Amino acid sequence: MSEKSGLEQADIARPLREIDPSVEDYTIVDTDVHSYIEIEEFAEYMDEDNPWRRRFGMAEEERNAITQFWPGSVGSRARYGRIKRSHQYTEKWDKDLVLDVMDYLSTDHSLLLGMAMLMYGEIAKNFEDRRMIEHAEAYTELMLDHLVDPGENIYTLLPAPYTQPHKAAEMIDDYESEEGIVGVCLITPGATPPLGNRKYNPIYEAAEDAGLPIVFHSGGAGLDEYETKGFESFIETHTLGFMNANLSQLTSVVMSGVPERYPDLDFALVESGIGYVAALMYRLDSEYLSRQSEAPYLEKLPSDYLKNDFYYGTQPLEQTPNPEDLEKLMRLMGGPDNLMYASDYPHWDYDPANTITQLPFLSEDEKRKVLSENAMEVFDL
Amino acid sequence: MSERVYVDDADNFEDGDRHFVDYNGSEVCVLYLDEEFHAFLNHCPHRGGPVARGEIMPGIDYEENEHGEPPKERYNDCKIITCPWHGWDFEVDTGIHSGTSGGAHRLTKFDVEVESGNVYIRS
Repeated sequence: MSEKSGLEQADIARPLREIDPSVEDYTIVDTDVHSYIEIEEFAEYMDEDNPWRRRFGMAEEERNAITQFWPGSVGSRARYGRIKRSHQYTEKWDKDLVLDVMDYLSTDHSLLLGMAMLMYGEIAKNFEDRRMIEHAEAYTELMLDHLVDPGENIYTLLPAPYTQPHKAAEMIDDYESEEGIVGVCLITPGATPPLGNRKYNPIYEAAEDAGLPIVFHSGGAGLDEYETKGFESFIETHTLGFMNANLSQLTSVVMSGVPERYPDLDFALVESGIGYVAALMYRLDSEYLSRQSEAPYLEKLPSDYLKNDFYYGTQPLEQTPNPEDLEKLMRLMGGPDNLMYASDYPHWDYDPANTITQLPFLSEDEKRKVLSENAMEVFDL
Repeated sequence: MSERVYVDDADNFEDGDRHFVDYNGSEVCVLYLDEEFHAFLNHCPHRGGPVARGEIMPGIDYEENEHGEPPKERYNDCKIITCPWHGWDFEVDTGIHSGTSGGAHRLTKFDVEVESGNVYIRS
């Protein structure tokens, strides 16, 4: 057997004729053999003026890009190498790095969330409850051991294994007095049934008892992983995916009466910007006024809850042609009183803090609310 | 007339070279591409990213076809520089964001003067 034959496990491979010599008596046509050629090789057969030549040529880089850790969705998150700051560190963070990052971003408090927990929706989709629990438990211990340090203003959220609400509640109870854990995180993409469902009540009850806010965190680009298939561009799935995950879960949470039933709980939605909130508020109000009986737990208009019981991470803050338009969007949804600055560092579309400081329509007091005061109140920092 | 700043000897530019100079405290990139000089502030109008260090690629034309397949993409002669932070694309010739016809977003460009074999920029 040639060493260069490329056959896997060559040390245990033997030609068939050595096992069954009778095959040599036949002419055999094999109608299905899978050869392997690396994707990059195909690029050479594309015209020079074809952009796909370059994209195929980058296949190795794209495969290794840790950005593919998320639901891949369609297209290329980093626009085939043109967005260079698509960073997902490939080495383990330590506390010194967190402090360096804070220095780089000019931030004073950092709420860390590990990358892997953003995949909980994917795990939930496959009903792998055990996998989620194992990760949640190990993650919490690792973060507390390795990165979290309230003395340095470094905190984390408890990644609730929400498909097993009683387990999640038990974890909340266990870590209630841990100063470095300042909230409970529920990952929104893929959460089924939606997070307003009564099955999640143990989580909300435990968080309320523990005095910990609930943070609903969006994720992925993968609208086409969880919702609607057939989009052909990343711009579509990225725009809609993050927004839709939070929009749909928020609808469920508010209309199921979670803020009414757990009035001492604070809620935050992160990583879906702010533009969608006003649209949802007033659409829900219109519906509620027609179909109040379908939301029996509500005592007020939905917009009232959305404005006053929910906080919203600002990232990615929308771009509008004129600042006045963004101001209208912001004030319509109750901001800036319910906004909390969030960077989403190190993801490619992160917002540095001057995204807020340079808003011409915010007063200095309002800027301070968004940059620190609201979050310090919500997370009791 | 605004200040003129010396950049380098013209012979020190090869095709695709980018030289960076200080202009009144701001970093300006002088790019030599297809036998033309272009100069612009190394500051993306979006969020201040180092746009001048981005990839430079041809623009893309889309050819419709009759059979319902996705449009075929082909490079054209336009040169686009992409900010490495968020992917904002700017035409090198005009400095205008390639997604906005009205020029709402654009690079801050500088005039380039070549005199006696020396390259200068002026705002």
